[in-house]
Amino acid sequence: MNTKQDSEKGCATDTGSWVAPMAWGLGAGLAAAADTALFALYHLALPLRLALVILPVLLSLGYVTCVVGMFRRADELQRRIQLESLGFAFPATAILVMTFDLLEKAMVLPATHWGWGMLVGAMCLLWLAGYAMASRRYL
Amino acid sequence: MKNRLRELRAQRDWSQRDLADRLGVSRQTINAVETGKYDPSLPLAFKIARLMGRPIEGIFTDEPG
Repeated sequence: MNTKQDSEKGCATDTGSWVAPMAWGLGAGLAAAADTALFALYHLALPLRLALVILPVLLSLGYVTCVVGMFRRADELQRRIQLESLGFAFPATAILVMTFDLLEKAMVLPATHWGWGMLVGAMCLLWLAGYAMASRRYL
Repeated sequence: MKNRLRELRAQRDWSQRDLADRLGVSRQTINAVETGKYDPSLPLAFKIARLMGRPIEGIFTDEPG
């Protein structure tokens, strides 16, 4: 049976709530990157250094609040998709880190110093990959 | 689980978006239920049944989709 909008397979309006968390997350990441650069370039006074450390932490808390709110507002299918994507991203990140660590210890790969930025980046990318896979299942 | 949601929606000339708005869920959820890719929770099934004015078993049947 062909009814109105049956051909629509995208879900643009349903994913609109991603914008705010992504903005907070991006803000936190940029603030942290700016902090790293500033700390490397300048010797700043202690109060200023502390203020600069607090800024990305506050932005990260905004991100967490936004994500939790997004999950609370999501309908049951969106919650399932998020659960499946996080269920993929969490162990996938652990496997990725473990694999790189073992490859470095086995001297197959040169030693890389995994900073938190790379770890968070991997988590976000794997979460997005998990979300794309889980979403596809219900299209 | 099989269901007659698409048929009942078509009878009312509602789009998936119309139905989603009436039920307070996303359009993707309606599409997934109609195509049998997702079985709704009991509260959502009751909501659908109330909206369609039918008992749950008049919409959903326990057969493989």
